[in-house]
Amino acid sequence: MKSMNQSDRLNRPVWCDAFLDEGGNLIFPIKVSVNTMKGWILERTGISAWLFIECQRFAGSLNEALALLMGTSTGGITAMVLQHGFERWDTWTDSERKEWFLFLLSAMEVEERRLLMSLLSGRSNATLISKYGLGKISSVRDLKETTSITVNAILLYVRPIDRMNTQYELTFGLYKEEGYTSCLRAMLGEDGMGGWLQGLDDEPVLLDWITDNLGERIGPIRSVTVSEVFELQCDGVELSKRHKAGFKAESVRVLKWLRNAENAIAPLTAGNQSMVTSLEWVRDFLPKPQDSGQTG
Amino acid sequence: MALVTFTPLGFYCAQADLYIDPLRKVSKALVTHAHSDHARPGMQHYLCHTQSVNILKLRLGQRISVQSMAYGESVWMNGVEITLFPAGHVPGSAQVRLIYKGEVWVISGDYKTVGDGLTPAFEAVRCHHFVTESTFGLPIFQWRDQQTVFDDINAWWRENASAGKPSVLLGYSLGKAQRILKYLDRSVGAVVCHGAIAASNIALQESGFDFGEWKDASGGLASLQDRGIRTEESLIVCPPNALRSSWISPLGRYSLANCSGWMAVSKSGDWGGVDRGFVLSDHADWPQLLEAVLATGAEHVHVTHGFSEVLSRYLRETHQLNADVVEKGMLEMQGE
Ligand SMILES: [Zn+2]
Ligand SMILES: [Zn+2]
Repeated sequence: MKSMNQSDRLNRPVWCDAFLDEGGNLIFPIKVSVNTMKGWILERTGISAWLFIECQRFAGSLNEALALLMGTSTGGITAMVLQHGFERWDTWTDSERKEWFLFLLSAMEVEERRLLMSLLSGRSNATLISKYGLGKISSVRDLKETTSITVNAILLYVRPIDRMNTQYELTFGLYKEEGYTSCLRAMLGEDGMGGWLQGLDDEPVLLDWITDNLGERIGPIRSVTVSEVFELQCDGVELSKRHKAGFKAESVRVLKWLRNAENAIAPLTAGNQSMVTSLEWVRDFLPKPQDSGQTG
Repeated sequence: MALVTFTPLGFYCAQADLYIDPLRKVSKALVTHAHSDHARPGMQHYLCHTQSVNILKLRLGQRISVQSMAYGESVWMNGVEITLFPAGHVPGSAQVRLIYKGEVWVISGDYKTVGDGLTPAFEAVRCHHFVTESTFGLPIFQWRDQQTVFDDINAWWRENASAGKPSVLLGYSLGKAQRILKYLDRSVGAVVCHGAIAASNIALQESGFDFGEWKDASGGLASLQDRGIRTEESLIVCPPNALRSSWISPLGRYSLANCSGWMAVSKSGDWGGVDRGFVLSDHADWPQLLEAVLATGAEHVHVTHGFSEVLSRYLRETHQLNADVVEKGMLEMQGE
């Protein structure tokens, strides 16, 4: 875990400094429930329930959706404004609390809002701090040690993102006991701005191949002909008991479409069955929790 | 029958026998702009804005048959009046207005309503039917003023340069790259462009666009030092796939940033493993989409390209417009 002092980033909100203890941790004197904050923000922005669900689905988290909904920052937030609220909080009515909160939020940048809401709701701030360095979005790479691996994986399913079949979320599988276990996901197709999400030379051909090889519908996803193997770079890989495959990857990038797969050289095969990397190999390769040198 | 229908091949005006941004090969294609999802190869004849011709030829081949029009200029095809208006999306981008027997359609292609100082600014055009994109059709997308984003980019560059680290900025070769080039602070160092971007730059400069000085790195990054360009103080603009080629390797250590509307959402910020994500888009954000739709006065709005279900439902519920999803029509047509 990174403490505030270590992630001494240029863009760290000044107001955070007022709430550091000697260990560099943030202490927040008041608590507001997530539902209350959500209610205030939806009321202010006039966003209906269904529309908020769509926002949250895309943003990936409640916090992020709410922070983004407040729009562009009006600027000028200081520790004093926060202090003011903390001191008067207990004497305030609900609507006074709401006004103070919404004023703060409008003035803040999106990254600061995410942090503020997380602190107000009393959730652990460690993840947030290490992920965002309290400032702008920054790479996972320079904030924590991660493991990257390259694997050969087979395409199992796709999820069409749009009706025009210009984008898919792909699900890849690794080899396991005479079958494949789905475990890695990546986006593919047109990025809507004239480019391609993976930037592969043969991405247009692959997009057409998928569209031509769609199989049965399973909820929102479609199966595809199980024949195509890809070289994937997986970053931020770690063992995880909560994932079916036993590990998780933060980001997956398609390096290469191994067309005519039977001819391709497969350095990491499991038996002669397949040129697809085995799940076992990945699990063996990854550092075990005890030797990863984690500290509390 | 409506003047414009949604067919499996794309938007079609039967009266003029004209397709707009068709998906497959047709005889006459009006192309709103040269991005690959709008300008596809293989059409017999292309019609586009004057400032799109060079870039269209660069992308689709010098030998394509292309006729061009200025903004506000009209052509008639079998009684249909066809006029182009600025879309403000990327250089050469246009909205198309079609008028026949009093029925007015506007197909806006991709657009943004806030001017970027490079591309002629979007013009709202009154119509009965408006076709709108919805790439960023969620209220979580609200762009900051572009100058604040460029200030951030320049600050990032300056910081890297003073640490002796090259700055690499990802941007697509048409539009985004030139918009960034225009606002870079050249007092920091040299602005260097990958070959793919250089080619677009030249085509656009010949079409009359000006986005400041830049150095061509088509000959490789290693050659820059010979030309007296200090890479450690340079800002290098390249397309994403250049990162996976050996083109980038002479740089050694560098700081990497991406410039895209998707960077607004932190999960996308992590996608490419970049050091910095700058939120900058050539598409309309949520407030701009609503502003554009309402400014046309259209009663019928056809939504495509992105969050079409969301935007059309919102327009129906909140503004009582007849809004539908274009792709639905296209699929139904396919089923017939
Ligand atoms: Zn587009
Ligand atoms: Zn476009």
